[in-house]
Amino acid sequence: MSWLNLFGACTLDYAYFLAFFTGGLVAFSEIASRYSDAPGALFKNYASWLYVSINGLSAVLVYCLSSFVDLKVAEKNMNDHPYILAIVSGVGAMAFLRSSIINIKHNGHNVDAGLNKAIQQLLDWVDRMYDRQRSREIVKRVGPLVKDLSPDFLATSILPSCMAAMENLTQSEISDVNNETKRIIESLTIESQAKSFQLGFCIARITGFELLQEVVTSLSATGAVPLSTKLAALRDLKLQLFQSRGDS
Amino acid sequence: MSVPKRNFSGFLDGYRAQNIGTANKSIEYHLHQVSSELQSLFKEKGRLSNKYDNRFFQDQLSVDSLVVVGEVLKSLILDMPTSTDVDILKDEHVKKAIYHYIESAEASNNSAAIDSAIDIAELFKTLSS
Repeated sequence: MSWLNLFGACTLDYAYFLAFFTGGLVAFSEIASRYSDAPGALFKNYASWLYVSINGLSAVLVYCLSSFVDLKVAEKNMNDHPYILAIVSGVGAMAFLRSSIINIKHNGHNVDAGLNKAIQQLLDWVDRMYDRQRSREIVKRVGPLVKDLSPDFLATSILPSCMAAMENLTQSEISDVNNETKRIIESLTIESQAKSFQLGFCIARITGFELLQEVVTSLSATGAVPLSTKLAALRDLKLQLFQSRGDS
Repeated sequence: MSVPKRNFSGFLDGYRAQNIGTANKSIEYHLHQVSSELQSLFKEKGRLSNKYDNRFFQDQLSVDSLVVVGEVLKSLILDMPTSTDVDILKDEHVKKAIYHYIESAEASNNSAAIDSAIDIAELFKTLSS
């Protein structure tokens, strides 16, 4: 008995679940790679479940559609092996539903025809919703952590320490974060406080909040002085030096 | 009839831009004050002129030059007592220049500039005591 026959012995009903599960898993891995700072947070977010569900349902749809067609692989009819077909549908659903079936040229413009527009629109909407929720969480947690840190301190101390602590960062991720940091630091139109926030968010997206918090706490304990403390010291000195002058 | 939702994003952008603009203007104003105080000092004490004024007045006085201005100011404070007869502790031009430099660093919110201003203020305080 070949391995295809083993799968063929399974009942058809479970194949729908398998297609849904596989499609959902593909969606989950896709969204987890996009928001790699905290993949665990995906489970707490309804938008991510919605994204996974839409992908799962798309896989079921593809599985249903494929059952109308006589698909043959190695002279075996795939409809006799619903589990295999379900897995293939799950993995291929996104590729199938996100590609246009035909490309029509109309008035010199290429127009895509197919389900891809509707599915992509839906997924973009859910993706954006998830992105907003994640961003809100990051702002809520990272904002208070970095508000007293200067952009220079974040760029020259916190970022390199975080990068050094992480082992599996790819060269392109390092290069992206370095370019973004350079852009923020060198900008003449972003005010200092906003630079600190942006750098904090940029670092947290790569490292996750927990590591950033650990690094900030560790470096603060070594005596690196936050900007607010420096400003307070400068104001004290100014008062001491120019108090009697009534000011210039 | 539905009530339109209030959108403050444009207002906030404008407010932020205004803040940046105000901070930059403030920094430039104080740096020009530093520059004019030192220029007055150089004019009064003619023999000082060659060493520093070119660096000061050729450079564009902007947010970016804060740290450079700080370095020049610091070297002036250190050099003057030994190389000239200017009493930096009593000279009003020097005091005003330091004051305006501190103001500009404070307005900048820039860590390096604030460090530089703290250095200068501490140096001046040490010399005064």
